[in-house]
Amino acid sequence: MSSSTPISILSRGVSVYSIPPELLANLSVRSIQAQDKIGEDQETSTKPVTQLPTPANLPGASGLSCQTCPNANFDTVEEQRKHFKSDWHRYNAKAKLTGRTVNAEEWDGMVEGISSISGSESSSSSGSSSQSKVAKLLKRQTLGNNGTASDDEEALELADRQRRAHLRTAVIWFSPTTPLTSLGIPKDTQFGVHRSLFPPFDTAADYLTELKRMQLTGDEEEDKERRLTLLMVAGGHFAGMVVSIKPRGKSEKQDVKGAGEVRVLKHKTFHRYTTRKKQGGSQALNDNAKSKAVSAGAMLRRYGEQALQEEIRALMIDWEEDLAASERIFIRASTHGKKSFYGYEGAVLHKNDDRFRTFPFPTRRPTLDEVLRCWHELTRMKVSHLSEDALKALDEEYIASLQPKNKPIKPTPAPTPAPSTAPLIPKLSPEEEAKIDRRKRLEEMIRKGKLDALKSFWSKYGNEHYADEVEQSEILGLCASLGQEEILKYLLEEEKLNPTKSIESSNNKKPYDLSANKNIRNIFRRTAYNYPDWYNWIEDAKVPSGLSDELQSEQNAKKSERRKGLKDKLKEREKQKQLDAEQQEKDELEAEQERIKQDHMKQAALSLGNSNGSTNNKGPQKLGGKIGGEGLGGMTPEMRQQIERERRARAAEARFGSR
Amino acid sequence: MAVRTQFENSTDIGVFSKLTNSYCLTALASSTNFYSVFESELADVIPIVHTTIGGTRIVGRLTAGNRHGLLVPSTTTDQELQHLRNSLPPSVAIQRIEERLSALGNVIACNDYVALVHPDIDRETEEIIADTLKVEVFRQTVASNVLVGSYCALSNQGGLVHPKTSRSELDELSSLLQVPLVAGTVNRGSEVIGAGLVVNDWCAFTGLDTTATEISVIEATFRLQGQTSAAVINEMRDSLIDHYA
Repeated sequence: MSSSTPISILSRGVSVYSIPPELLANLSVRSIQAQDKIGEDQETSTKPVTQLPTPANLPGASGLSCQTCPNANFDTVEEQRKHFKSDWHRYNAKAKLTGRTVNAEEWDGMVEGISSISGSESSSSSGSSSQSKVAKLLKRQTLGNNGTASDDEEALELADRQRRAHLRTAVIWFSPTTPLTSLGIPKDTQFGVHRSLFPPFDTAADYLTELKRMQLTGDEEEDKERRLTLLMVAGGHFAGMVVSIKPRGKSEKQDVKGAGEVRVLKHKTFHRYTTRKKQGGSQALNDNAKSKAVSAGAMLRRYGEQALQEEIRALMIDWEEDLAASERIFIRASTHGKKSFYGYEGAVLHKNDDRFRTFPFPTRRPTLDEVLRCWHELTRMKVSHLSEDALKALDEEYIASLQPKNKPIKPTPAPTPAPSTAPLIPKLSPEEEAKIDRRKRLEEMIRKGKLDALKSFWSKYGNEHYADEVEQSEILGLCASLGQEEILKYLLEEEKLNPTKSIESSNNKKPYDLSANKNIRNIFRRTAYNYPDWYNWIEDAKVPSGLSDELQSEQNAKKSERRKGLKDKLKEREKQKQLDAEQQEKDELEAEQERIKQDHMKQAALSLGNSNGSTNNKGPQKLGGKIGGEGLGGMTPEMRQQIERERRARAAEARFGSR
Repeated sequence: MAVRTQFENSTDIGVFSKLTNSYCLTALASSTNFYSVFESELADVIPIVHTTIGGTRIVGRLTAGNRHGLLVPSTTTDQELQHLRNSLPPSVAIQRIEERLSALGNVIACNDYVALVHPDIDRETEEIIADTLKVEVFRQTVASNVLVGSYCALSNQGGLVHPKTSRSELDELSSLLQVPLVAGTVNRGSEVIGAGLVVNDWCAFTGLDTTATEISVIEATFRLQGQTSAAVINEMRDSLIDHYA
């Protein structure tokens, strides 16, 4: 159909059922090449069967022969008897039981092999050594007999993986043997067809012939009869479609929206409420798992399931003819859901129908759209453009990724990463993990300042595991940045960790640069002073100068002096402050006294005025104030008396004073 | 002279007895009937020893021997060994063998000159056999059976082997053993020759079921009545062929 198109046929989907004949003639199966090779291997590897000698085929002129050893004939009885004592005969006497005897030449070859192994050629061939030879050979032979000699084991395993890889791929890949420029197919193009469209085959040629057989013939009547059925049921939704393999003609009517060229013969969907919203899971499952739920919703769902099943079963009867004519029946259903299609009385389909297939890809909610999508997915050829090398790499990787059956995984040659695959997470060996773990522990110890623990840790692991100078610098940097003086001192002076390397994780700084405080810096400097010949402290470790004891004591003295002076000043200031405070207090006291005096005087004057009977105070007067002078309202009579007395005394005083 | 007998209702007398040119071993039985049969034939000629081997009565299958010696398996107790030593003539060497294949009577078939042994037997055992029994040792099979002791009975005069032994194998074996061999049966068709027949150079004992024809084949083969083994072919042909037909 698309052979007439001048540009690439790949620009639109190529149906599996109408591959351009030029392309089809050029296709070869790609993914099964390994399989063929295995077959050949097995043929060649079958051991040449030693013919057991029969009396008829023995020349044996003198009639003296050995029944066990092939082609052994003797002229004299002595020779024969000698032969019966030989290793060759001994070996064959045993080997005969397992059905494989060797002739003289083979025996010679075997003996050469074994003598080189035993390495006792120089010693005279004593009886016991020849015995061990026979035993060795027999042992070797028995091993070989089991089918997997150690040499072949790997090859066999690889072959097994290849076979399984072949079996497990969902898509069969075909590649054109020659680039077809007339069809616009570039070099390195592969075409994939879903395996589920084929019957289960074992050999590559079968797939190709089947693909050729699958093509539409162009005979109208015959093509019209060919169809596929797709059925899906899940979560209370059913969608089914019978699709003709022959595409729809332009004039034919289309009753499914968006189906395009697809000639949909029958289609139907049902939707029922069978699964609880939010929680999911079918009601039947829930009923089986627990006791039967009695809620109204459960009843509804139960009814929904029942109804859906009945509807589907009725539909199956309706579609009986189409189902019978279908080449493949794709079904997506749970175990329970399959009961809608087969396994009941009067079922149209039978469980062991070899046309049944599952969808070899994930499908969404069963709707007509989804079924259409699945149809396209299934029947359009997949196209990939991978170079030969990339394909090989992909194959190898895939095969390597398969777990061997019942066998421990053998280290396989690392597959070359294919361009399309995501980068793999590096798998850590146990040693590496242990190393990371150790490093974490070390950092924890430094962080918490556990010197004792660190010491024992270092004596255990230190020198062998932390020989790397960069790592040493990193550890020192960590100590320095965390301000762990003791640990830094220990590591620097006693364990002699190298502080001269730059630490990458902190902008290529040296450990000294990471120092948290002056004490840390001093530790570096002191070490630099004490052991100036250990490293080039100034250049490499960036320690500005050494710090001697004198220097430090001098510094300390200076500091303490400064501190002392400061203290004095502070004291003085304190004293001054105290003095000031005292003075102020005094002043305040005096001021208070003065004020009280004036108050008294005023009071006296007032009271005098009152006693004169003239009220010259204009302001508001307190109510009840007259009863016993001011503010005496709420007092006991004694108190009032006392105050009154005092007041009088003061008045008298005032009188005397004024006089 | 071939005598028919049975051991406590079993016709496999080769299991319970061992006969050589210089001694005879019999198993301990509840009655002395079995012993008496041997005694009536062999008394005053060779010693007949009542014994067990490793506490079992299957002395014929566990031991191997000829005029020169007796081989017993490692299961043999010291008392049994002592008893055998005391009972057998001093010229007979007795040797206990440490061998995985401990039923020596089944894996060794011998006359006074040649021994056929199981192909899997130890090299050391092979040497002990050669030294003790003063024989040439050949690792062989009889009609594809490794248990050479079970499927053949040998004397210095001849040998009876498994009935399915092929003609060429017969030739081969007889050229090894340097005695004429005949393929035949005992105990009315039993192919386990070693179990049904014990034989030395002048007499034979077979199971009670052994037919007259089988007896005549045995007597001819082992030349027990002055016949030659050629008689098996020449004189007995008619009865044999009639029988097998």
